[in-house]
Amino acid sequence: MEADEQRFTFDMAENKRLLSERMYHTEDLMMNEIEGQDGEGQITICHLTGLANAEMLRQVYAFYPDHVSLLRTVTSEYEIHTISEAAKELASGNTVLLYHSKQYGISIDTLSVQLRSVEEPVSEAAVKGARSGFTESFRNNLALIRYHCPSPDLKIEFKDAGVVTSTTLAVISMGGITNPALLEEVHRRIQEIPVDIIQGDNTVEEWIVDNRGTLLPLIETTERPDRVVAALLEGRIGIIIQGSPFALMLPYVFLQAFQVSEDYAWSFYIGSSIRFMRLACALIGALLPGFYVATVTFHHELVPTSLLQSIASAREPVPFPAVIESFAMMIAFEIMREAGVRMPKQVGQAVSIVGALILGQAAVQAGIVSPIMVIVAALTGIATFTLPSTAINYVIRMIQFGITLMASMLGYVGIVASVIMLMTYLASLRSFGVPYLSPAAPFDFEQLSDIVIRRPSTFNSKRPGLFHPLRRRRFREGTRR
Amino acid sequence: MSSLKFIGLFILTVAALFIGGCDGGLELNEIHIVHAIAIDKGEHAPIRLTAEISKIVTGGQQPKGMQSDSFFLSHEGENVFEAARLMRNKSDRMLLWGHTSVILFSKDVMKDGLSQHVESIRRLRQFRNSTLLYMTEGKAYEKLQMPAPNLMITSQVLKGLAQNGKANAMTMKVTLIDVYRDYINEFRDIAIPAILRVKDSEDDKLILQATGLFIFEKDHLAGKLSPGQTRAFMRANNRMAGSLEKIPCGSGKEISFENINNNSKMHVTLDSEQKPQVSFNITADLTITDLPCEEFDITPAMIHAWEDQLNEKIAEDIRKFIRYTQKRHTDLLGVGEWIHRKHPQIWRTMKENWPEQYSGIQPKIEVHTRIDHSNFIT
Amino acid sequence: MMRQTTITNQQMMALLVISTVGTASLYAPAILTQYASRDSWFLVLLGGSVGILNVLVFLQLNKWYPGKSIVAISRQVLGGWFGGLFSFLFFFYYLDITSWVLREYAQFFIIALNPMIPQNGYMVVGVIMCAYAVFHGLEVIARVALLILGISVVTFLFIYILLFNSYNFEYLLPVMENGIGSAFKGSFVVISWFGDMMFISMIIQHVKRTKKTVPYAIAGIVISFLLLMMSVVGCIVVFGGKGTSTFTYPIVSLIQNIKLFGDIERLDAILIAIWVMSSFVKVTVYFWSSLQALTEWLHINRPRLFIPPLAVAVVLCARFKIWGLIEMSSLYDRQAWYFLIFQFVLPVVLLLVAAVRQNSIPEEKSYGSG
Repeated sequence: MEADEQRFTFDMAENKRLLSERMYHTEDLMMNEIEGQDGEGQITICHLTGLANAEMLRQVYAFYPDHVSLLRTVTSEYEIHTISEAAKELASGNTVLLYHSKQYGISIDTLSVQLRSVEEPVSEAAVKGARSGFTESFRNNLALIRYHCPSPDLKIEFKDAGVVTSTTLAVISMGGITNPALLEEVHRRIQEIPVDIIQGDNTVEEWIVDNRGTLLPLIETTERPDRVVAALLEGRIGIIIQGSPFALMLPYVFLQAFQVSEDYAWSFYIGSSIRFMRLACALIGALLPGFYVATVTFHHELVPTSLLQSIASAREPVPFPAVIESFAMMIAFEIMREAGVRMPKQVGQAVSIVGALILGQAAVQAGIVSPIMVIVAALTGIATFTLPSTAINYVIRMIQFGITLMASMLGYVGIVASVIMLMTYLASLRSFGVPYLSPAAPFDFEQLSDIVIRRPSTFNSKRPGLFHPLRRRRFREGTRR
Repeated sequence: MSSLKFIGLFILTVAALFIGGCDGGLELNEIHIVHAIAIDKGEHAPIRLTAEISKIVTGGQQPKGMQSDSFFLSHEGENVFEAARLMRNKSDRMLLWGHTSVILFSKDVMKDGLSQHVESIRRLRQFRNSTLLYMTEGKAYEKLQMPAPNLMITSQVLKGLAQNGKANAMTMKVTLIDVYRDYINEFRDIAIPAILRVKDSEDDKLILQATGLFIFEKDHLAGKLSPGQTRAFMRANNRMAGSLEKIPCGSGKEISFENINNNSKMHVTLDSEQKPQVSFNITADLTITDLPCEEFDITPAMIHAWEDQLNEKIAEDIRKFIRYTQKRHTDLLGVGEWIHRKHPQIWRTMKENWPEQYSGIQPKIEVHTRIDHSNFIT
Repeated sequence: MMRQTTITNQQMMALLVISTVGTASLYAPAILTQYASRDSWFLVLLGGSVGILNVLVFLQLNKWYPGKSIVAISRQVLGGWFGGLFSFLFFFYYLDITSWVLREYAQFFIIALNPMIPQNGYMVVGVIMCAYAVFHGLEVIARVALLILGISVVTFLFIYILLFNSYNFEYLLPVMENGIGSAFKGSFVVISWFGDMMFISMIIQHVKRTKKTVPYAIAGIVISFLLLMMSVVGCIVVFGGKGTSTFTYPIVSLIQNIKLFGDIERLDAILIAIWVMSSFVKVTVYFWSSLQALTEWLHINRPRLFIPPLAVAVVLCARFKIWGLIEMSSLYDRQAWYFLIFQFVLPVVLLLVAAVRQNSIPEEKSYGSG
């Protein structure tokens, strides 16, 4: 620790030795000496090969004696005083200039890494609406947000997290809208992240949420700059993490999981009905297998007689209880889904054929599962894919196993009991102080109508009060509704 | 700590469930679905219960639904519950009674009284409120076991027959809850539709037919309404949707009318001697469906004449029906309950000798028919 | 340092409504019609008005001693010994009600599902889900209660609208055949149902007080009254007065009359959902109240530690306190005064004593100043 605090000495050779030692004599560390002008003496230019932009380096080398002042104006640059600071700057791709007989160095931003260009977001595809997604480039991501929201109110604050990596986080908020108390809380929590290495957005998410070890995501992640901007305008806060193509948005309430930015790209009838359908799909995804199992083992009376007759004759050759049958199909579906994600795209075709043919048709003919169960499993699986939030999609599929188990033991009572427990759990969660189930519980009709149906934009004269923005008015003064 | 709690809670839940046992559930492979039951007098015991159970047909791509075949089990017992429980001994699977859609009583078994059967069936919680009730002369199980013309399950045939009431008003849809409600509350006396076995005219096959009603005086079987009386009953009771009426038009031929609409209002008043007076106000719309007569120009005057004829005929039908029920002391229309509702104090004394009071009533019947259109060929 | 728990007026109303009629409306028609046949609506009217009176007693107590539960109030009003006794009685009563409701909840499945089902399993599941909610505290309970209120009110309205065709309003005639006196017989029972809102004395201190708190509390009773009235009248106009009295859970039979699209019947499974949810809220809120009463009585620092033992006690108590449904319903009928003592008499005594004290204190003050 004391070595880290080691300041530069007047001795250039000693400085170089210390720096090299600090970086464990890594061999991609380049230290070249050139003669400075105006009696600045010797200058050591340090950089890591590969990380620094070759073109800029050439400029530094070639033009330094003449153009140092020019260079200083075009690139970001600041003074550093300790060895470990120098090492950190080097590690993040900057070039460090060490001056002979001075106790400070200068860091010049010369980072350049070959990254992919802006592409359409993979996890949040949209038929209509903006198509750009975040990339791994920190600077580019910030630029995208600035571009989508060209407002002087947009405020970006940088924070470092991670003792070893010191990854930069950008906390983005809207001045005059975002509640300062919320912003302060975010800063406080980021400050308290004790972990040494930040691996990505999820590490940050897990450390700053209210309820550690939560089942459901308490912070929204997105790949879309337009979504981040929309969130900012509601008084929420965005966080972008260096190296991650996902932005975090907070606070987050459960019902927002059913919102897609595309809802606002269509007329509000279409937007609202699709949003309703997503809600219904979440219910189907969580409850349908349990409902089926409970119905055919406990509540035979509910099924219309002719349908029961059909189900019974279809189930006749199946030797397993309905619960085993449904678990088998649900697990088979999970396997296919996971295989579909992991597998190279070229063999994707094979899995879908094998999945549909073997697991669907052949399993029915072999008398392992009944056709109704295949329908139930397929519908359940597909229904969960309509949810825009992948995290909630996975959670719902986990829940469905639990509910099916309860349903097989207690029938509808089991389903209702597990739903109640789930509701209790959800109601106990908070995201940055905002109750996770709000605005449904605690109930707020105005907010609920905004979040469940996609209201026409002309009706939204106020931004949602859920996140306690400073200013709720959206329209120009004097605008009539 | 927190995760430990969760695991503890989870283990507790699962353990509790396994200790509590996952009883109560029945896989579909473990049950037979009962579709209809017939209740007869047994040879050795008071009750003989016969159940129609569908055969589960496996294989084949299309599900067969209600087109599948059925088989029958029967057992005797002291009561319906005992017979049903003992029947389990003959069946390879648990019997699911919850889908029973028809209960067919034999007339013999009903002679012992209606209430005991209705109550014992209500007490078995499996039966639906909408289960249809039928009665038949002779052996009920024989009727149940008759092959249906299209090889359907007999319960489906009987369910379909109940719908005929809407078309020709010769039978009525009577559900378990109707009977129970009217009996327990003493709203009116009970009528249960009858099932007959008739010869189909084309080939000599026997098929089932639902016409007429068995009527009860309180608990006791009192008689049977003919199809014509059934029609009059349904008209007077405002339960008629469609029916057929005919009036003679000379030379032995008859004009047929289709009843398309019927509305009946019953009024009960008490006269100065506290005797009940019953009046009916019936309006009906009819259309001409068949006109085999000689004269062929339909004038408003002629329509009026027909309407008068119809009024007369319908009133007479209803009068006959009421006379029959008076003879049998069966208050099918709920006149007594009407008095009870309007004049509770008088009803208290009248209740004692209500059957006699009822027999003495001279109903006033006013019928207003309207012949809507002559149904000319388009 | 725990955050101050506050619940909104709406949430308080939801708790009131579900605890009073969420479960009662399923069996109320049968019990009331046994007393008053087709005139049972009068009993509901009576119960509702006494219910409003009852809730006003608690609101008045709260007005005089804001921020205090009934346990703390009885301490303050009656002093150490009597106050302690009252605190214990209230704690005992809350715990007793918890086990009663739990037993009721399990008993329903025997009738509505299958007589062979294991009652213990259902009770254990029920108590686990309630203990879990109690663990999370009143705020969470209140939030879930509001959701459940929405679900159950919509479902009940849905049921009554679907049945509209089978209503025969003439079944309500004749009105008061045997005079108004005979209808009073069942009044204790119905008043004790409305008195189930007595847990309000424990939660009212956590309600975020606004001008509308009192109207909301009364609105809660009025909504309960309307729901109960709808269920009683609904059953009578479908089954007739006498018919209704022969059922155990008339609403179950009522919902079986619904026929959707010609072939979907036996929707009584829906009622299972409503029943479980309503019972959950009622058990939970009483469980919470008893825990709270215990905490305040004995000044316990970590009340959450007491949840598991209380839960076990409640299950055992519920299991062995009566042998069956008949005993339970006859107890509810004849021993209604037992519930009334705690719901009405004790709070009124407290109120009267408090009134005397209240009057005496300001008098002294005015005397002193004048």
